[in-house]
Amino acid sequence: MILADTSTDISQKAHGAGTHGLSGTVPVTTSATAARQAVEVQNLEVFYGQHRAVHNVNLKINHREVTAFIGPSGCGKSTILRCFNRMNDLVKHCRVQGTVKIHGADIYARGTDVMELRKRTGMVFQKPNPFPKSIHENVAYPLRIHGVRGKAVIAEKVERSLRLAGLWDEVKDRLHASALSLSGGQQQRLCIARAIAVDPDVLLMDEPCSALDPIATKTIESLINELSKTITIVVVTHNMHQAVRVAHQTAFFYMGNLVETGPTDKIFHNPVQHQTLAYVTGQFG
Amino acid sequence: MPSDATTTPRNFQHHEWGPRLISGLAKILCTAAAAVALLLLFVILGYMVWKGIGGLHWSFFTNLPLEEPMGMRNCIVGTIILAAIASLIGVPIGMLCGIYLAEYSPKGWSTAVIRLTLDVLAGTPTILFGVVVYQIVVVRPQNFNGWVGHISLWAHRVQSWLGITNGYSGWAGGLALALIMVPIIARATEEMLRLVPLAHREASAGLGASKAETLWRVVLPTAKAGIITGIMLAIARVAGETAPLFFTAFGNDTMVYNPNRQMPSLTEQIYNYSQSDDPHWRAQAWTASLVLVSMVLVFSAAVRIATRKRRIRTH
Repeated sequence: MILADTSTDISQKAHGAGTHGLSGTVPVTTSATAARQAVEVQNLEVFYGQHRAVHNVNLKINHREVTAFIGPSGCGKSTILRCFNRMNDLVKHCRVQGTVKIHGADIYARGTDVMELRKRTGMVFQKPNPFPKSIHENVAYPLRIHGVRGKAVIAEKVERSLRLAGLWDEVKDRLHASALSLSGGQQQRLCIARAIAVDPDVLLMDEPCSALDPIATKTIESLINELSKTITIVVVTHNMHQAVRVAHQTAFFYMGNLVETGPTDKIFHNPVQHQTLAYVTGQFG
Repeated sequence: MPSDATTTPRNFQHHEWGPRLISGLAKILCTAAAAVALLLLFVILGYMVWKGIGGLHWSFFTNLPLEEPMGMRNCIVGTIILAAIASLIGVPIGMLCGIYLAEYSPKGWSTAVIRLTLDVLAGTPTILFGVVVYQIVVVRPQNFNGWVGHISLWAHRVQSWLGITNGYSGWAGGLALALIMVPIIARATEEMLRLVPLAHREASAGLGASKAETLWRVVLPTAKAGIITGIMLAIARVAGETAPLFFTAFGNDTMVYNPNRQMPSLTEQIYNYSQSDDPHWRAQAWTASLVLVSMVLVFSAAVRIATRKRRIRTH
């Protein structure tokens, strides 16, 4: 379960007490049966040059659950997601403060092996981005760079990943065709297969369906449900219905602040914060 | 904006002839310019074929200039050797330079200076490269004073170590041609690498690949076709160079395979023969031109076919 940490954000405090007619709501508290935390974020601040994009975020993400990050554009949800595998390292003038722990290990600590971190923390991007290689080579790529050798071993792991991603039956007869010959939805599932090929503990998905049609979206969503049995998934989404459909937990961000987190059902039907209510009922965003 | 904008009646037919006239004129001018360029090209190529095809016998490819009937076997081989030496030196340096510019150089004035330098080098009259190589490699250094002397001294030491003699040679010619290739290949490589989408690099990094792995396994393969085209252009360009070879390879009427000796080339022979009073020699120059152009054409086509992207199978 995600704990709704008390944020130090002023605007939240201003709105915090009233909760605008949602009488009887109590702050989300920790459950006695709290699951193991896959990701733990403490006092996270992210700066782009002088601009502070993320303000003092505290957050816990449960092991083997789906957590959705929602919020309007520019609220910092993707930025936070990209802290979890240190993709922000590639962005010039981007500075990260605070602690991010994945399974207890501080990933911003000195001496962290970023390559190993990214192997264990897979990422799926907004636009499907298969390499201009064959379907087989796309999934074999992470295996090769992480030292898996042997044609048979690689072929077996490629098949397993493609099966997990629900793509095997569609591509098994043309594994050596270009990945770019696939449809958008198939390409995105290929990217998921590629990301899970090296058995990551956590899968980060940055608006994975925003470039896809409704049918492809539905396929990916059932895939997310299926994968969450073995992998912790964090999915950034613009689509609130998607959060309701796939996520156990939801975190709502606004203007770089974490406004509220909790079980998805509660965030959408019984939120504590006035801003959350306004957003999930479509009053802005 | 007037408040009654929405009530103003509109129709969408052309009223003004101005824009249509300009548009029409632009189209005519562009088409005409393209036609002139194409026409000129075909006139030149056609004239060359017309003048050169008469001398095209087997003996041209099998005989030497001083044999009867005269041929240019040594020049054809010399051009190939010179282009090969130039590629051997120029392609790796040019590509690494382009990779540095696109992937590793800090964004700032230093990179801008390097890029500008390369562009200036690419536009430098190529005779200059011949003169420089002449001074450093061909002439046995006499004077080791000053910074030019230092460069000469070090060049001489490296040269001796590599077993390259002083004097006109294939090595000197190849080096001069390589200097011409470097800026062309570097800029082509840089441009092609920049065209590789950020999405590919992010995907690779997100899977835990290092920068070098991403470059080697994703970025370079993606940019391969464009880089090869750039290299082909550079080779075609140096295969047609004449002036720098006069200072470096100099030419030879016999068959030469050893790059330490004076090296003949088609271009240099074309120049020599075209200056001749003998119409037979001038005809040979035309034939040599035809052969040179055909060699470049066949070579480019062959490389393009060999490296063509495999067709995407859709089922």
